[in-house]
Amino acid sequence: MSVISITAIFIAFMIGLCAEANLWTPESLKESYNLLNRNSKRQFHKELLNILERQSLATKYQQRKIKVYTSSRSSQLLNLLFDQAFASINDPSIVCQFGGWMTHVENSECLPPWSRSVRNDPALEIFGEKYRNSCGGANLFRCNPVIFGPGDDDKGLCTTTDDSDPNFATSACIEEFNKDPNALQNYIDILADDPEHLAQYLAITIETLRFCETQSDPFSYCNELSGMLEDISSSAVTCSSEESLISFLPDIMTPFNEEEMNRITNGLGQKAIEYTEELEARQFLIRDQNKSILEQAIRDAQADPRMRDTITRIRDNADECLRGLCSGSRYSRSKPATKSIAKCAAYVKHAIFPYPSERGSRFSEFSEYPWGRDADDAVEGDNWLSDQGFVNILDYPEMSHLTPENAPVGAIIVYEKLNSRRSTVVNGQRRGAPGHIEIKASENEYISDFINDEPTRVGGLRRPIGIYYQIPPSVEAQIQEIPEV
Amino acid sequence: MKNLKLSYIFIIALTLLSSCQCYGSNLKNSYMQDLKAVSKIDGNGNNKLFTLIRATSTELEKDWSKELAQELARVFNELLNVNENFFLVELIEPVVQKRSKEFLPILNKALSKKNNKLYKEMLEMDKREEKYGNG
Repeated sequence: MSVISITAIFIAFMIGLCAEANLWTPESLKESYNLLNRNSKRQFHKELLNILERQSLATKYQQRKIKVYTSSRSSQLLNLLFDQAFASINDPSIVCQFGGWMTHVENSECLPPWSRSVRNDPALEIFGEKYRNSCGGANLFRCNPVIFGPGDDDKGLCTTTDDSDPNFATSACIEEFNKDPNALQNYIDILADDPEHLAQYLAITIETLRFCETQSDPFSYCNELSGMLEDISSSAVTCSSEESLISFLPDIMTPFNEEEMNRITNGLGQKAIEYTEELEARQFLIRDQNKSILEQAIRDAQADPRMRDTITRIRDNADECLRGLCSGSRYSRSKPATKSIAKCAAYVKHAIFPYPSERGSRFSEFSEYPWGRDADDAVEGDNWLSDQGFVNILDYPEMSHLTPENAPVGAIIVYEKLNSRRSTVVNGQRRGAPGHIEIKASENEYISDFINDEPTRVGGLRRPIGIYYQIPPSVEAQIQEIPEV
Repeated sequence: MKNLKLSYIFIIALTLLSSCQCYGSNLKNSYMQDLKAVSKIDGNGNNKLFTLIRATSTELEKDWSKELAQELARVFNELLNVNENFFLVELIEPVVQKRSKEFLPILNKALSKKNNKLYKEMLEMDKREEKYGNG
């Protein structure tokens, strides 16, 4: 196809999209869809899958790869397209199986499980381990232990077959498995005791059933394998502890397999969704409680006279040359309050921990000033702040919405410098060069060695990396861990 | 037929190239317009203005324009009239470092005598902070 034709299709497509954007109904979609040729439908389906995956990743399920479609829009779309969705065997969304191993179709053939593209495909990880242990000879094939049990060496049964043919390989595995009359019951017992393994098993089961159902001319093994898989999984699900299994099911659910999942797990698919919803509700509740605890702790810190003294001191010090810190500048005793002398970290430390001879009460019980005048810089602030009971509130996901602009007064804000080749390691994390540190003294007052009326972002060249408050350990102990799937 | 295809490809390439150029010059026009709007700076300036100066400097680093450079230098001089903080030198760092030959004469001309001296002091302080930290 010429460049011109491709461009023309693309432009037409874009114009079509824009024009149709406000007329997006199931009817119009179906009509438009029917106009597409076979290749375009296939391409459309690929895009649809990508979109669904991206959409599902944007939900709260994202950390555990769960793929359930949640909006009514996508389910309408899915219902409309479901018949066509698996019409082509070369569709990249189709996962075929080869001796129990889940692999992809390429050029209308199911790839062997040892092929590199299959072994390196992270999307296939939901089906358990990849093919890594050969049986050590030509025409010997290792059956997937997740389907056919561990065999004698715990790595899976070995069988003699034409190992380039998925049909032969699978049939040989089924035959090998059925040689032992107790194999089925033994394997059910193994699965029932191992919910994670069972979940992988179910993932393969569901995908295999789906694959067989989409074929107009099913492979020879489909009936036999489907029957065996359904028998085993239904029995194992009955034996297995339901609760443990449910926690693994969200990992193997996709927008397409809920029906199969319910069929072979006696309705656990729906329960898995309910489980995830309950978990999310619990997560939400705990986050909410943690947020309230931290917000109260910040209010308490604000009411603490030590914070008031600190703010008073840093405001008063801004026009002074403390302890010879002005050396190297044109000032000796006092300086303009709005002018920095590149000693922000020193001024913040002096405000929090004054010398005994300086005005204002001592912040804490220190026998002497604990740091050298040039001990460290702003970006390393975390080292000495956390030693003295200050907590970076941004480390709590519940408070990650805070910025220098909206942080409550009293915050000690640490910035890293972005436009520098120099870097610092703080708490094992690589950070930028000396950036800046300041105390938010009031809503429009950010003070260090100078007073600024807005956060010192220097047009984006300083990035906030910490917002500190003094939080007692007793409060930190109240923070609950967020449960995960 | 072949000639027809080639001419189509040529037209598309030309369209794409001109759109890139338009984008670049649009950006410059926009910076120029924003900088020209700065006559008197309130207070010590603000992050919005600092971002504009930095973005203009980065644009000049990539794609030189004498007119834009003159405007940038003028606004920078205005900024030094109200804000003497050393870290402001970082805002024009990209163009100073990459286009020193073209930009520094323009900057020197735009800065008042007082601000010229101040700029040198600020550079020194910025270097010192980078080297020794701010503790």
